[in-house]
Amino acid sequence: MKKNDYVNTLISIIISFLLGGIVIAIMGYNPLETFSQLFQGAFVGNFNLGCTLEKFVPLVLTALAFTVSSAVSVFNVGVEGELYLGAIAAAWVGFSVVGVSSPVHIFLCILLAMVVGALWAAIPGILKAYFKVNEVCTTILFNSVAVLITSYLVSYPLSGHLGVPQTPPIADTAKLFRILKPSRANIGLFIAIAVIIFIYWLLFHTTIGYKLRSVGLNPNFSDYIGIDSKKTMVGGMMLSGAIGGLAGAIEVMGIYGCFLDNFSIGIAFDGMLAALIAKNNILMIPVVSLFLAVLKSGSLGMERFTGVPKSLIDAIIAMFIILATMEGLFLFKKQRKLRA
Amino acid sequence: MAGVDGNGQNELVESLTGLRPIEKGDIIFKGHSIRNLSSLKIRKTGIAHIPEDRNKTGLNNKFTIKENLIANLYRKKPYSKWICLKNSLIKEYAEGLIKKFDIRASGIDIPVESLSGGNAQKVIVAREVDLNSELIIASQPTRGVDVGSIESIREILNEVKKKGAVVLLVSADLEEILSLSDRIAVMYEGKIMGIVSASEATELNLGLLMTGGKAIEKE
Repeated sequence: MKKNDYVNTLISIIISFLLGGIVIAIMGYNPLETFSQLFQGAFVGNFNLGCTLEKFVPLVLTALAFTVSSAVSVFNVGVEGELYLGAIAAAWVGFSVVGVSSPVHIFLCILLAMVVGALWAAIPGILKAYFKVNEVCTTILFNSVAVLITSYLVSYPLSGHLGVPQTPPIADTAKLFRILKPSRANIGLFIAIAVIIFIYWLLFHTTIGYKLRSVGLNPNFSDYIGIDSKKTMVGGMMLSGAIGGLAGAIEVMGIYGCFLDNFSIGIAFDGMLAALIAKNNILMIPVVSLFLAVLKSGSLGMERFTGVPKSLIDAIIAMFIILATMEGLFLFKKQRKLRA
Repeated sequence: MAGVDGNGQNELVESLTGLRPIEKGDIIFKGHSIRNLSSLKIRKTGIAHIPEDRNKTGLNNKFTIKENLIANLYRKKPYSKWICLKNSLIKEYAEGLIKKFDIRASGIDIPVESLSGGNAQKVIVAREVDLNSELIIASQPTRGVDVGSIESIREILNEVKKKGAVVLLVSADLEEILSLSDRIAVMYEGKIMGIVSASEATELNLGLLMTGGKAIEKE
């Protein structure tokens, strides 16, 4: 079943590129040259590769956050909010705490960001587990609340008084070391990779993961077997929120060096998209996230060198999503045929 | 516990196993009250439970056979240390259980929803019986199960009895009750209409009680 998934996604990628190539040709450009510039824009040179990695890290973490909540069958559409709150928490620790060494400072920033993200996600988690409140409603609304809270904080109490809505810059000891200069890629990449490996291990090789997956697949069975399905559901949501907060912290500490009002143009929604395309399969998430990051960062170089508009890449991504999710349609038709 | 479906047997079993809150009355097990304890605590006192609904409650259908079989023991040594699962030991345990209880499956890593009704029920029976608990509550254990598996499961429950455990069998199948039980209580509309010993029990006697009548006294 898993091998089939990989092959299907690969076929979807190939087909969407083919269709994209046809559209490029109709528009009067050379598809081969265009794609070559796309890949060069994504990989060739420190700056380009760095750009790709910059986009990859938040994408893969927010996708992971969504997948973790899906494991307990909760649709955490609120990762964007957790991202923002985690980011401002990290920024606050970053500029308020002084006189600590770098590893300690980074650890404290990340710790607070994850705690804040977890607590924020716990609220819709509790509402769903104990009161059956639809989590899609609560989490989407909570996004707005979180973004506005951070907007207020960054404009008044935590403002850097620099004329731009941002906090004071964080101390150098809180910044994540840059790799691949002059891009803004940083060691947040390794943190993200470590988290992916940890979550995979947690879900499939520990008693905690067993409980989370059991509750996600059948809460009745879980209660019967002695697992508190409600507590576990909230726990899963909190873990998801913590990862979202971490994503925000890495953005602040590695890329911006401060909290910037409205810095995210829907990072977490792209992450949710990646998770859905990867069918919440943890091994596929880095692959899909990398693919999306490559497309987004390569499109800048592509537009610069060939004149093909960036929005064409958005169209290719959209085609890929349709193809990748259409597989569900084929499975559905197959099941109907079998029944008949 | 004999009785036509829907006379309160299910609710009784749920309250005995911590799956339904109790408003009035008490349950004493081994001298202690287990009223309104969590299902986990009740299991720890030595009660195993084969539930009536194997698909909704007894099994996690999307989990593999192995994951279902280890559901009671995954927290304990040697199957886990701290929070790490010891997958090779779990695999051994599951394979041993399939052999011992004659569960027909192509492997332990296939999802349990692909098993036939009889085999799926045997997974539940295997898991609960292997705990060697002092009390097993078996609710409609052979419902919707093929003839071969019915025999298997009844054999297993008899073995459990011989080893000294207590079996509370809840069934709407009179033949099953009569062939397995030592003492039979009949439920009708939430009340126990009478308790009959196996020697006195006949289909007529039980049938009368099950429909709300009184047992015929033997002269």
